[in-house]
Amino acid sequence: MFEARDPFAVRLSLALLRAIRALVPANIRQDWLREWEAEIRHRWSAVNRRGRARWQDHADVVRRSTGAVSDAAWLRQQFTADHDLTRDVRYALRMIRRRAVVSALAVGLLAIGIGGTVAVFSVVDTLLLRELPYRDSERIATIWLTDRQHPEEREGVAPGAFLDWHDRSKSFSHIAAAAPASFDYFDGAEPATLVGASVTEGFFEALGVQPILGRLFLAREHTVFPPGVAIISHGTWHRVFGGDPIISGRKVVFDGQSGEIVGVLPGWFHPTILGRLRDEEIWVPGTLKNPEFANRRTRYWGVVARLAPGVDMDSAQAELSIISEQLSKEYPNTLGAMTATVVPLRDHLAGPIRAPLPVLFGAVVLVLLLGCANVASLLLARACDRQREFAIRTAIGASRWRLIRQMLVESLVLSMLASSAGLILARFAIDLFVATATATVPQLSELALDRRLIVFAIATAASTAILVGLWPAIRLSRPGVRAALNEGAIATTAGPARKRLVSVLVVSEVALALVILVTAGLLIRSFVTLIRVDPGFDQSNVAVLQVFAYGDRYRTNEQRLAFFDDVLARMRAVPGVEKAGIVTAMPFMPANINIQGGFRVEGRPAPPEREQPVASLTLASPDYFPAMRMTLRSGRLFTSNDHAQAPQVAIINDLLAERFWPAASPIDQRITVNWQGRWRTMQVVGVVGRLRHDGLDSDPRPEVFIPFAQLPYGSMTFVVRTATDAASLVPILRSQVWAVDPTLALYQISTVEALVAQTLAPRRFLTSLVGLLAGLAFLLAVIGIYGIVSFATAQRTREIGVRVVVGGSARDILTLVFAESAKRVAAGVLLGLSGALAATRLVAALLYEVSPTDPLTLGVMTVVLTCVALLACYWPARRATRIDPLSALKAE
Amino acid sequence: MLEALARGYHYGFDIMDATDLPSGTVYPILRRLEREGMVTSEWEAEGVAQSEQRPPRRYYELTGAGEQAFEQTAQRYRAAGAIAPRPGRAWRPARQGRG
Repeated sequence: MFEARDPFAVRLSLALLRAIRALVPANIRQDWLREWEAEIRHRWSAVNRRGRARWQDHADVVRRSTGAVSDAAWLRQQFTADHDLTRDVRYALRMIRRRAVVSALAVGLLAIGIGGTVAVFSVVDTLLLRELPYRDSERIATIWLTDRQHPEEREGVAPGAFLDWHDRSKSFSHIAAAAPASFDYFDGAEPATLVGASVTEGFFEALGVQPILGRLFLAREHTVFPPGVAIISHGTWHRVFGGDPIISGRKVVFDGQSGEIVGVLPGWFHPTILGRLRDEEIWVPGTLKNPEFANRRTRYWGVVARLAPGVDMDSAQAELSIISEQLSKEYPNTLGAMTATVVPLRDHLAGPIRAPLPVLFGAVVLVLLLGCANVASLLLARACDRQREFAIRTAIGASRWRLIRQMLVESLVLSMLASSAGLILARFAIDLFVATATATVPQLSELALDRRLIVFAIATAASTAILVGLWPAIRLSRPGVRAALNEGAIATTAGPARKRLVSVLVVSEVALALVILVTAGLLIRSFVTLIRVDPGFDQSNVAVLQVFAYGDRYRTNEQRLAFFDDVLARMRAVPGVEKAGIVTAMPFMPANINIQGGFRVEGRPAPPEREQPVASLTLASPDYFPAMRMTLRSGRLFTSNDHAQAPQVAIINDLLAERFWPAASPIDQRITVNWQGRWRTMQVVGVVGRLRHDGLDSDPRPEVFIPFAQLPYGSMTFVVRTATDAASLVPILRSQVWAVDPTLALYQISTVEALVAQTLAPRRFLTSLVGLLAGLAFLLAVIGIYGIVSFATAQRTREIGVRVVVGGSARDILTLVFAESAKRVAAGVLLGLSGALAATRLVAALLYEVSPTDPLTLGVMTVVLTCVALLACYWPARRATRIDPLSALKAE
Repeated sequence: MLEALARGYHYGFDIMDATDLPSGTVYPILRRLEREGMVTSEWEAEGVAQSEQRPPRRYYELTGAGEQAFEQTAQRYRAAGAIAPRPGRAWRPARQGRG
């Protein structure tokens, strides 16, 4: 205690002692403090007795009290060195070192499980658990115009439908739409296209985002066209404008129009509302007086809304469903089959990764469980090796808890080592996720190994330790079992407890491995089926360059024709180019210009308005078809004779031909199509094979090809077939466009192979990951089964020796040992199959043309696993037949 | 340390004064000697402390084993000193007994 008359030095010393006291082991803490305090006080009274204290005396007291730190630290060290827990940890480390290979294997297996779990959890955390940066994000909804039959297919919203929702709904404080737009930006170097959106009033307010620089749009800016202002993304600000801090208010020229940048949005803002592969880079204000609002057919806008106070998602959905019913009646031919689907922003952002996440998480948990089973068997083997030690320790008074604790500490040390290694693995896995999945789910760019994940890893490790350590510990420390273990030297057969443990481990390893193998098998089969799908054209060596030729230079048809003819002629002259054509709707292109229009066959009665058939109308130049190597089923392709003045002709695809001329030939038939509001009649001159436009798993669409020369258009894609690698010719092809118009921006430049790969990326990602995990699981299970059966057989050495002595043949021994293991494997297979049937239901939605109960996959995986598992059991059984009875009996 | 204890220095700070060792060295050595049975410790009589208006101190004393160890060590040092003589230590008078 301090006393008022104590000088500062004494008070300081005493305070120091009290602070240091915490270091001292609790049982001697009081004595320790008393001793030091007494020394300080004694010293001070001696100083006082001598006369007036000098400053040196003050300093001396403080200096002496600092020695208490070393004293306390020494005591702590002694205490911990003697402490049971420390001893257990040291002992555990020694055991791990002694069986270095086995331990490394166990740690490695567990690390893979923990690392995988942490990595996948990081995705779950980012996409589903973590607070979104959007203000009150749980009140933000995205709204989609979906087919009543397929509400999960969310393409977009027809502008007219948005306007109807906007005018009629009362559930939202803000409801706004984004229309895709792009702007050519030319600052004297190469022209660039900025992908963006024209957004109606309240778009940013609905999403709850504030600019980091400048401001949002003003109400009056949504009433003028063309817009004079723009807001840019964080990325554009850095990439195009070099992070200029006074960007707000800067005058720029987009698409030949002068405008002003008024704001910059934060870096996390990726609403991906238009479902494009490229993130939006620029936003401009849109008006509600757009002629597009008459369009209730083409679903290409995105709609976001913020719930009004007191309204929840369900009631908003209910209101929109009622509005949709009304709209269906009012516009039966466009909105007849359509409804509005409300999707919370979080679900929308999780996007295509959301569905496979549970599968992926399930797979890593299975691997983790397998890792656990292996570590458990390792610990079991070790515990059995130490049965005598346990017996002796019990005899000299160790409590059951003491033994359990020791085993728990061992498994804890193992799993902590594994979790450290697992975190390193998770780090790599997260980098891999970011690299591969960010393109499809921009939110994943926020993935990082943070404190939450480290806590998660440690928690996983700790629960793993308890899972794998506690059970064998409890079983083996049971008094009855201990007694049996004590008799280990005399006992001839394995005790029932140990047998049960071995059974549980083998059965669970087989079952877990089978579940993940079947799942991976289905995914792989589905993926292989998918990549074998014929898209209707030859994907190799095709370069594509998309342009939007509008503006003053492309006002007339002649101007457009002249431009494209000129560029095509230049491209054909490039060495290595075989064919060069142009088309509006290029398969696999993110901006697939799918122009739909009504379709009639001349001479047949016109169907009622609401049953009016619709076809995709695609403009193409003659060389497009050979450049794509499409199949000509009948008739002819376009030629240069199908020019503007020639009779109007069309090529249809075989899907359309089968639908309208199931028995006859469509060649020379006359059809009428509604091209942008005007009915045009044309003669069918050819039939080509069907194309898949939106992905290998998408359905082909009925398509009518019209010669570009007869309907020149601005949104075109150059399709160039090359003799060699298409990617290498891209720069020179690009320069051919700029040779004709140096200010025209290229919206998308790629090869078809890259575009196809991009559409397959999420599936490829999931399949390869689950496949990898399944491979690991398989390996884990085989190693595990081999380990357990070897252990169980080794435990029976004496029994086998006795059997041999009393006349058992090698065959008998083999049958005895192998039959037991085979029974366990069979039980595991049965359990695994039922587990797999339940688990594959989860992946059903992710499969393409493969049933979740696909007998081939189930059969092959079961047979492969069974054979390898039996082989893993056979080996130890075979070794058992070579046991020398004499040495077996002597051994103990 | 053993010599200091043998010469009648019984408290931590007094041993520090006698040996010129810092407190961070003296105390751990005392703890170790005590653990090894060469030193025992007891609390000072309350009366003595009270008369000086301070709390009682902990009193350290050599055991038989400690005295023996001291003798052996001293002999070893004497032998070593005979080969390479070094200046002896001048001991300050210790306060004898336990108060």
